[in-house]
Amino acid sequence: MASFFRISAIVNMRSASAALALFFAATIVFFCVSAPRFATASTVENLMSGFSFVAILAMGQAFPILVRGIDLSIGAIVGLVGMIVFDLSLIGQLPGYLILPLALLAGALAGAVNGVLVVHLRLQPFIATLATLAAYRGLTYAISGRQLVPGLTTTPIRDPWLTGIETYFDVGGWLGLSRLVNMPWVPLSFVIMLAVFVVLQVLLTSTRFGRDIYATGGNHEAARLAGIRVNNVIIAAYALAGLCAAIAALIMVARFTTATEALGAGMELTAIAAAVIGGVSLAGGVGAMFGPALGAFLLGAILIGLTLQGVPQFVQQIITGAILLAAVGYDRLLSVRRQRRLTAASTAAT
Amino acid sequence: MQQPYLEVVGISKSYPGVRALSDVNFSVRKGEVVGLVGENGAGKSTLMRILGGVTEPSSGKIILDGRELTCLTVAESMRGGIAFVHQELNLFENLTVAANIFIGREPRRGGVLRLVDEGELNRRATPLLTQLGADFAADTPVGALSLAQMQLVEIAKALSLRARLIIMDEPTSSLTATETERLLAVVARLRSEGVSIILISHRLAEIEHAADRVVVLRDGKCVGELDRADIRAETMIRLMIGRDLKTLYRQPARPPGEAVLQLKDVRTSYRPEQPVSLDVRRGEILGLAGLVGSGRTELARAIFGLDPLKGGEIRIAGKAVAITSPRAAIGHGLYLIPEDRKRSGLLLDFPIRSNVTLASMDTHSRFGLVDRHAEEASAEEQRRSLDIRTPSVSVLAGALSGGNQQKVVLAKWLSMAPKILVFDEPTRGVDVGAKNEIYGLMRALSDRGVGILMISSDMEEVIGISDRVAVMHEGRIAGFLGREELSERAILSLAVGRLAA
Repeated sequence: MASFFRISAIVNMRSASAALALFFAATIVFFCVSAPRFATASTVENLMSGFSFVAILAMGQAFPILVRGIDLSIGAIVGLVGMIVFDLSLIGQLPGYLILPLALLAGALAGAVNGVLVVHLRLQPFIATLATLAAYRGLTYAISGRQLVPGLTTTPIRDPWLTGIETYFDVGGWLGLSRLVNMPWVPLSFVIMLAVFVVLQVLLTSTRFGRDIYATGGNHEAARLAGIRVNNVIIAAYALAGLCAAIAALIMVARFTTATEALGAGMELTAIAAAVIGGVSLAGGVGAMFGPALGAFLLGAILIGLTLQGVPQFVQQIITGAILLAAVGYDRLLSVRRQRRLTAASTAAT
Repeated sequence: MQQPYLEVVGISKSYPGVRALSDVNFSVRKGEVVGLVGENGAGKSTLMRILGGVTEPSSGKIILDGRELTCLTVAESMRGGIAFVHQELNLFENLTVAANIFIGREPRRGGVLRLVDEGELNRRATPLLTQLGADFAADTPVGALSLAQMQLVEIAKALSLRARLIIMDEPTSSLTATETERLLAVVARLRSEGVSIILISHRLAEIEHAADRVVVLRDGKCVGELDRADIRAETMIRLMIGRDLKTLYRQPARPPGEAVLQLKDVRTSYRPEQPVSLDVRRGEILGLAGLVGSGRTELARAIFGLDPLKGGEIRIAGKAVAITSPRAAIGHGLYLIPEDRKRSGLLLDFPIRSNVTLASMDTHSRFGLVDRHAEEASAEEQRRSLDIRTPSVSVLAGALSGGNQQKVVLAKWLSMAPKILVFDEPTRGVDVGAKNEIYGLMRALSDRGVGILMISSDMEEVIGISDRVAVMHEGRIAGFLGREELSERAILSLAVGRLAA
């Protein structure tokens, strides 16, 4: 991991990640003690299967935020991609192995459109993606096979290439641990999440593209003057967010064996919350992949724990909001401190 | 002898590990202009922060208007009649001049409604502006003013607070020659009205011109105090750096070669009706002088592909090239060192290493993966050859001093074998010692065959290091001056639009 943190632009990441991991551990301990049936294999399984796609969304969301933007449309992209999969499979009768790449392409394209709006029409990311949020959701209704072909509403998707994503591995059994304790089965979606994590983390911290992302987010003007194609970098960041949304959509469709028009609604807020809790600075240029992923599971653990404690849904939402506020406050604190340290060092140097 | 308005006695300030000021004494009499000079880090800012009440001195006392204090608070400093005109102006560009002057102290009308009395606001602001000889009205939006005019607004604000000592920190660093002259006239006028002024400036010619007395700081100590008759730039420089400054100009090693950069009837969107033609030759430093607004920066932006060309042709090494983006310019070996390095030259919270290799990721990555060893090696090499003073190339660029930051910006391009370097104000905000180093580097580069185009508003710099100077006036080249013709007078007469003598 050491080399992941070589860029000092994320100098605070190590401490921020450590703080987040500690907070995550404390949360787990708290619920293990206070919530009935929290410390069970099924909780871990629920967490893995119910929040891996949230983690993927959060990691995708981190890219627009890293280039000083935001993507409000990823929930709508989830819905759109879900409906495309539904149509292609049930109306188009296309085989799953063709649908998978098409779905990913659709997500990436929808994201790239956001990027183009931001870069070439110079729209505020917030407004541009708010507009596409509405547009993509509307498009989802427009192409909904449920409306176009009556009777499909109750037909499940049975293509093994698609439903196969909802597979569980008895890792505990293979390792022989299940004889000792009750081990959770590991869902494929968790493995996909881990793969996405590794790929994106390497992309971000060890490749030239990642350097360009940090540079563009850190100082757009200086990056441009250094010959970095900042416009392409920004479009790619939004495309990656869309691609992650498509992966999340595939996981959700596999889980429900269908897609509804409302699939993914509101998920963008959870993803933004997880990314910010995970130390991706809204000021741009600071953050990595570990934080957003863990941030998603932290939110998940809290929701599951509170549910087990019998806390009503609306209280859970209030608590989630409070955590987001705390995370944003912490982000501010870190960036103020970073600023102050630079100023102090610069004064001492002159 | 008149009682001084402000007297600073034996002021010291220590930070852990650093002694920023030690035993500094100086005084300012009523209606006196005191120049305060010193290299960056000499302690000027600390001293000013103490006078502003922001920093508490470790020892010593301050006698302000007859009252003896061990330290000032911000409120006491203001009540004592001290006002600051900072390098960075603190104005609201969306409000009018009058509103800015009386911000937070607006006259009211309408009883309980407490409406702002716009008429009264302008009536009160107008005499202040007249006093300063301002050429704009009180109801002008500040956003429509030039930098020099904004400074007058700041000064008017100070006067409205009944300031009796105005501290001006590098007030002329962004002003043109005429604007500077006008500001110095304002200083003289204020002085005749009994206002005291502390003038901090890197531009020694101004200090020579305007100050009644000069205090020189070096390493936190007061190393000299010069009276009117003794104020000379060479004396001040010698005191500031503790040694005599060598004459700036160094002959190029070889006579300049063929043209590396040729502009033929280039038109920019700034002044499309004015074609610009010039050649930068191999191994020469071509100075580009002119008043602010004469189109120098716009020309540089167009050459570097930041703004589209409206016509004409750019040739590099004899071949016509299409430069549509910075990336294209970089591809042709043409690099820009921008005017505002913090905003457009550096990633302040990136380490030096990443800043150096920012533009040359092609040679520092394999299969898209960043090669950290190659990166480290390049950065180290540049650190050594440019003498960037830092313990390690992992230090964040934002933590360096101005001169070292500029070296990092330079290092970014030097690792990529430049053909042509365009410097926009290469030494703005850089202290005297580092300035000379940067000049030395520029000459060393030109001797290696690089063609250098240097935009500068610093007359001393233009005359001191250019082999040839092109002077711009209202978007066109008003004339070229050879080395032997260079003088402040010759440049200025071209810059204001008179024909070359």
